This record gives sequence, structure tokens and C-alpha cells, in this order.
Amino acid sequence: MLGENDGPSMIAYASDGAQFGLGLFLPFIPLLFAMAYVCQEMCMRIGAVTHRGFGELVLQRYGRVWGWFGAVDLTVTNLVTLVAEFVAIRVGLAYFHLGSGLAVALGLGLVVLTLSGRRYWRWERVALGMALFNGVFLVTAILSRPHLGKAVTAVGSPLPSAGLTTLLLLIASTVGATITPWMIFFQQSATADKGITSSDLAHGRGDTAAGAVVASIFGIGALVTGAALFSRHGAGIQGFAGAGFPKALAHVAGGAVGTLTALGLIEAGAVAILTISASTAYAAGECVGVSHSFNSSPRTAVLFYVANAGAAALAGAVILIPGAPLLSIALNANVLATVLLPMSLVLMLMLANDKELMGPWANGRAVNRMAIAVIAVVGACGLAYGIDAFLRTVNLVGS
Amino acid sequence: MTKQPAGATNAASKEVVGASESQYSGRIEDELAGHLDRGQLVVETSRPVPRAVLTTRVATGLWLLRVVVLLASALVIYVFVAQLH
Repeated sequence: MLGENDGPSMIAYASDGAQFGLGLFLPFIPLLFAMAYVCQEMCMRIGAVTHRGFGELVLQRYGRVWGWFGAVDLTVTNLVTLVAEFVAIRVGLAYFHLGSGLAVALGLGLVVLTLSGRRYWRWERVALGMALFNGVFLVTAILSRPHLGKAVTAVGSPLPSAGLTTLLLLIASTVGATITPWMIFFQQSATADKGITSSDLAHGRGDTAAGAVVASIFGIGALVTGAALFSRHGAGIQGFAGAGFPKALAHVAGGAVGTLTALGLIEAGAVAILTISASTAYAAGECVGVSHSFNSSPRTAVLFYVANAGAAALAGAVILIPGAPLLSIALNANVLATVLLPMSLVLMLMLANDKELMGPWANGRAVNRMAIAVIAVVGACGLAYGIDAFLRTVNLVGS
Repeated sequence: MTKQPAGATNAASKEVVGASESQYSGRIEDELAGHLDRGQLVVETSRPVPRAVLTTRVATGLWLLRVVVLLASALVIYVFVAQLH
């Protein structure tokens, strides 16, 4: 779950704070992580009971068409999101006057290093150890000295005047930052790869819930940190393709906040490169029907290893292209994920309700109601932004 | 679940005394396999799960959702490309 706090997520939370303050998003982030828990608990349960990844199960149960649709959606969103992760690392490194080449080398080096462990548990420990560093956003929130009284009274207060499209973009990208297609594939495939069984469900639920709580706290940390720029009308957040965001924070809240934010962005991007590359590799192996495990050797799982490193390499190459629209890619990555997500969520819900597969571990009524609510919210957010932004772009409504 | 009885593990351990290292590691792997959940065995997971029969209503609903998702994606991609100019 901590992998959800990737580079674009932390930037989205900070953007929310910088442009709208704490009012709407302070209660919105825990609510989103509660929604993410509902989805990830289902994935973990399906993986533990069936011992199969999401792509493999959809392909076998509902046919090749739906399996490949899911894999293509995932590959597209993963590649775009991976570019955004490299952008986040680049932003962090730019604060220390380091270039894009190092960002690519760092991301690729990590992927190759973790793949060389040849065991799932080794990969997991490296990723988890790095993810704990996400806690720096809690430190930056404290160092930016938020006024607790103001933070409490801000909850539910009216939003500052801003364009509807901007608000919808931030809501859609915040939803897409928290509930992601790659996490559905990753969570279920990793559960199967780890060897979790139905007797481990209680531990799996506890693990997922703990991750949701911690990730939510760190996400709020990024929101509160970004809110330090709120009084300056979000100044600095727009320049995050360079080192503008950490630099703006350093100017407002002190050098330590700027430095830690830059380091936090590097960490968030690096961890997500590991998990998103892994989810791409799992999906590729599952759909083609070949070995797909960190426990397999490169010789027996060629596609898994090539897809894992290849996805990261391809995304890394994009940020090295001079003049590539990195800012736009990073901003739209989460929105595209939000728009494509309902399809995967519906298939996940169908699998979780499949009594032939799940037996006594199939969804109950309460979980189904929550899951349907999550799908409705995610679908509405993506559609609302897509329609509104399109109508304004073609000048059918005033901007 | 196909858990191996605890006694079988002890018996297997006595048998390996004097065996070569490769034989020993092979037996250890056999023991581990004996403690795996049925579905965790490679032979089990390599068998595809039976294909579900989707009712016309469900299949139509899935195709409708697919079309809506593709249209919404096209809108987002159009806006993204327009912003580049």
C-alpha cells in the first residue's frame, strides 16, 4: 500500500494543499485510502484463495478478449505513470543540481539490483525498506509548522475560487494517485508470488490496513507541506518539471523542508518504479502464459525479467528526449489511470463474487456495497474531468 | 490442503544421513512441497481455472463499460494533446 504514495501522488497531494489549502483534501485523503483498502483487500483475498494473478485469472475465467484489454490498459497507464515517476526523481535531483541522466541511471539501477536478488522476499524487503523513507513527508509537514487550529477549522470550509476544470483535474488525479490499475495487478500477483494462502487472510488484511493508515498519514504530510505555499496562491507548484516545487518550499518553509521534500520525491519515484515495473512484468507473464515470478531464474522467466527492466528503460528514455512534455505527462498520468480504472475494478468485483472460485471467501453484501460505491466515485471523477475538460478545450463551454 | 504429517518429516530426516548434498537438498525441497497449499503447487496453478459463462446481460454491461471507458480515455488524450499546442 505504501507503493501508492508514488511521485505523482505526492505531487498531487502537495498541489491540492498549495492550490486549495486543507479544507477539502484533509478528510478526502483518508477517505480515498479507505476506498483503496476495499479494493486491495479484495485483490489480496482473490490472490490468496486462487494463487493466481489478476491478469491470469481474468484471461482464464472471462476469456482472452477481457484479459488482453486489461493488459493493454495496464501497459499504457504503467508506461505513462513510469515516465511521471522518473520526472519525480528528476525534480528531486534537480534541487541538488543533478541531471536527468542520473535520474534514469538511479531508477534503472534499482530495478536491475532488485531483480538480481532472484527471490520475492528479497525484492519485497528492499522495496519496503525504501518505502519507509516516505515518512519524510511527515517530517516536512511538522517542519513547515502548520497551525493546528486553522487546519481543523479549514475542514469543510468553502474552497477558494478556482476553475472547475482545475478542481476536477486535481480531484481526478488525487483519486488516480490513490486507487491505481497497477496496484490491482501488483497486489494480487504479489500475493500469489509470495505464497499467501487463505489461512493467511487475517495477516493479509492487517498488513493492508496498516499500509493504508501509514500511507494516508504520509499523504496528509505531503498535503500539509504543500499548504505552506497556499498563502502564496500555490506559487512554485507549477514549476515542478524543474526543481521549482522544493525550491519554493525552501523559500517559504526553510531549507530543511526543501531538501527533505526533494529527497522524498526521489524515494517516492524510486519505489514506484520498482512496483510498477513489477506489475507490468507480472501482467506480461500472466497474459502470455509463461513463468512470472521473482523466485524464477532469468533463464526460466525471460519475459518477466525483460518486461520488468524494459518498461523502466522505455520510460526512462522518454525523459531523456529534449523538449518532451514531461509536465503534461506527469499531470495527466493519474487522470488516465482514473479513467481506465473502472473496467479493472468491475472485473475484480466479479472475481471476488465468483463462488466457484472463491468458495466461502467470496464477497459479502457489505463489501459489495462499498466496492460498488468506490467504482461509482472513480468512474464519476474520471468522466466528469474528461467531459468538462473536452468541452472547454473545443470551446463548447466558457473557460 | 495437502499437509504432510509431522512424523513423515522426521522419518525423511533420518533417511538422508549419509546422502550426498544434492540428494539432501532435493529431499528438503520435497518436504517443502509437502507443506504447500494444494493451489501453490506449480502443477496446480498451471492448470487453467474453468471458463465462466457470462450471461448476455453481464457481457453487454461489460462491453458498454468498455466503450464508455475508451471514449473517456479518448477525451483525456485529446485534451492532453491539445494542451501541448
